[in-house]
Amino acid sequence: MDLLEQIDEFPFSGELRLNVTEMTHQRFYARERELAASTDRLFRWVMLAQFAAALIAALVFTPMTWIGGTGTVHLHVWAALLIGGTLAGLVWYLSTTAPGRASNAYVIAIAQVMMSVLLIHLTGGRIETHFHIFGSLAFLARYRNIRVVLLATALVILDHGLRSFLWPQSIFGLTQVQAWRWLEHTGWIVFEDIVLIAAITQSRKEMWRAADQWVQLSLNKQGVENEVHRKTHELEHGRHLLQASQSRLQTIIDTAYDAYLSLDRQLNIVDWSRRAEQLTGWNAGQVVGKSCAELLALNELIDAIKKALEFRAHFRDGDSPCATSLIETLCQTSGGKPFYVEASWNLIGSQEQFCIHIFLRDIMDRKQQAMQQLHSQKMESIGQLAAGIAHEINSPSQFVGDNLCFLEKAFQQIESLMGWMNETLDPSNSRRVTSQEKVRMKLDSTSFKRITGEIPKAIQQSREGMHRISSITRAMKEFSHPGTGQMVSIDLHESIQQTLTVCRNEWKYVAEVVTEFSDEVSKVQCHPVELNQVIINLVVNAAHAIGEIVHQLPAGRGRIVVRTRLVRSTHSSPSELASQATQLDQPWEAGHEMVEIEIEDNGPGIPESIRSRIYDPFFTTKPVGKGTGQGLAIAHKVMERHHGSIHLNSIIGQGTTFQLRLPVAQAASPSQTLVNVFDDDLIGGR
Amino acid sequence: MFSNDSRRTCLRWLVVAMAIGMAGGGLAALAAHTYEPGKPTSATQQWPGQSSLTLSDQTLTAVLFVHPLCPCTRVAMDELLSFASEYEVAWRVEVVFVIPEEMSPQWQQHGHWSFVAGEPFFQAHVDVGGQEAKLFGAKTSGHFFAFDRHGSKLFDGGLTNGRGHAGPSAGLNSLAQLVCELSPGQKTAPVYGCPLQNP
Repeated sequence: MDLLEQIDEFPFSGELRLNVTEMTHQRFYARERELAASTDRLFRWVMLAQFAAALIAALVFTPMTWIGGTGTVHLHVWAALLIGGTLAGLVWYLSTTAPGRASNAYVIAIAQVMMSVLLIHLTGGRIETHFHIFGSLAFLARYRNIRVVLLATALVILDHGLRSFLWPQSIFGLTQVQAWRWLEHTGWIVFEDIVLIAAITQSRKEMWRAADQWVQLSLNKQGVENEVHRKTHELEHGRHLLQASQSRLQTIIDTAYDAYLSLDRQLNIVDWSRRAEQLTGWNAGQVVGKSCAELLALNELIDAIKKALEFRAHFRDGDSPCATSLIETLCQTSGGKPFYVEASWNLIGSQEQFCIHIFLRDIMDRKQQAMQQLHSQKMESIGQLAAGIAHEINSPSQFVGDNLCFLEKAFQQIESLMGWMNETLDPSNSRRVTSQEKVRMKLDSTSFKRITGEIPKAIQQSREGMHRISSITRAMKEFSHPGTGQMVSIDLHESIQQTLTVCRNEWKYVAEVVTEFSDEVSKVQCHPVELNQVIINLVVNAAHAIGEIVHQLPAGRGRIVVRTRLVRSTHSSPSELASQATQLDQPWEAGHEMVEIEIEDNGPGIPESIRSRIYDPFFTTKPVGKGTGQGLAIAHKVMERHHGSIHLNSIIGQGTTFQLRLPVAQAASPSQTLVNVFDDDLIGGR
Repeated sequence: MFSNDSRRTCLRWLVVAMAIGMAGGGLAALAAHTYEPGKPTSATQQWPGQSSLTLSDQTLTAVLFVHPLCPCTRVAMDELLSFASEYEVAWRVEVVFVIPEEMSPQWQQHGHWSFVAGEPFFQAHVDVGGQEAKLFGAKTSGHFFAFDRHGSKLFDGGLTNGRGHAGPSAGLNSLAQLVCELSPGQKTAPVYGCPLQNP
């Protein structure tokens, strides 16, 4: 295993620590080889330069030698050429074929010393040229090898020593010199050697330290690289997981029934799911970066989001998420066709990474079902009320019929009387003269006086009867009308009166209905059909409740009070605003006028245990056949659609009061265009 | 039998040995040549009366025979100049340019002539055919003679310790002793230089 691969074993084991020392050795020797190779290459050029210098010196100073008038090339020139060329060629050969080889340094040291000798010779043995020896040693010291310097020194000293003993003239110019004189010359060489050896020793120590640091750095680097590799692997793995998660999330979003979109702070679209494309007809490329409000309408949602953003800026920590809110609103397709969606939305993220997430659910089917449910419930009510209504119509019909019979008989009698009178008064008749007494008797015999007295009464009664029938049928007509689906401004009191008329037969046997209408209340914007349905449900419920205990009541009848009044919304505290901003199911603001309708009965009251369930669909306490459990559920939904509320106050044994509140004037909302949506939907489907 | 590496190693060492051997041999030959003196001569012991040169009756008379183109002699003249400067000698050196007979008289103007002519310490003379050299017994360029005012030879020989080699020499030593009015320890010294005449 490569040493550097063992770094994972940090902290190092004993074996690895030994290996670290070995690595330092390897690095040191490698560096030493590099240095030797570079010094070899350096000497290649140094030798070449010296060779050139020798040649130039020979040619300049001693180009020719003479014997009288005959000149020949001086031996110095040949020496420079051959000896210098040989030495330079040798060094070139070694440094080229095996640079850095350990033996090269020693051979080059020998060659360099010989080159020094040659140059000293060629320059006439000048003392200045002897400094070439010092220069050579300095250059050789670049090997950082003491033995190389010592070899060169030894050669110089040996040359000097031997020649001083054997051939002193070649050094000192004298044949007789003192025995110690060579020491004077070699002393300087030794002095330089001391300096060079000290420098080499220091340099080798630094090389060792550098090698050690290199190894430590390599180990650290390897450790860091391993760590980086591991972290990279983890990141890569994490990235794959994230990609898989994103892919899963994208699949979920794309295949979800709900369309998903996200908006930035400017309410421009950022993300757009495939389901959103299917739902609206816009593809992502067409909508991303564009205004959500311009493309999709979603007016109520946009208003709610703007309020939430405003609130968030003032009252809440900007980074904390809001509770998810739900709102029904009208959306539009790319072709401009409106349809209802239920939008669940939330504000998520900090200031920098803020995002508004919206899920849109197509609720057209549900809306249709709700409409059909409402319609069915209305039909059910009509069915339930039909007998009573028939009875209501039958009573006046009967006495109108009786009156008509009476009038018919009276007419016959009057016609007969008129015929007798005509005959009696005919001039051609011989018996035309009739006494006044006879006429009187005739009138008495036909009960003329009684008849003429009853006829106006009969007519009056008939007119009243017809008026009642007319009222009932008109109320029925109003009640059973499917409505326009639009919010319209109606006379609330008249509408309540008609509703009470329609269901009169439900309450008239068990209770009396008292209306306490406020003069302040007149017109109110609503869906009349739906509101009437709510009132009739509550009145009928009240009548049924009274019916359970009517025999216990002192007067034998209960009492239902329908009361209206005008109130003002008083929400003003931040918490209430916050509640509004997050729920947005009651977009009231302080000072808005509300109409309150109370339907109070003195029935048995609603037990506490079931109060939380009374708005649940199909929950009922009535016997089978008398109620389907839809009445209060529908009332709750209708009030919700009107941005209103329904509240219950009930005391067991004393009675129940339902309190309806709805805005006098509804804010412009897609509900107002509901008819446009449902006219088509109900008839032909979307 | 031998691997390529071994063969290469052997070749390398062979090349090294041959190169070092050749260089060493060359240096040895060079040294041998450098320190090979000119042929010994029987120099005159007294100032030759037939000489065209003038013997000074005031100071020491110095005569240097030179080959105009001998590179070794230039070192001798340099050493002589240094010596004169060092010892502040009052005399001059009569430098005799020996011109071989076969060469034209203007030949001496090559080489060292201009150098010598430019130095007041030297007095240049031309010796066509080497008559003066024969009178003094000089055969090698760089042969130096010193006579006292009576014409007695005090010293003759070379002033360098090898061909073209600067530095201390037996000749300069003797000359220094003469200047200091001492008896020179060595009255002769080998002369290193080019032969003045063809044999």
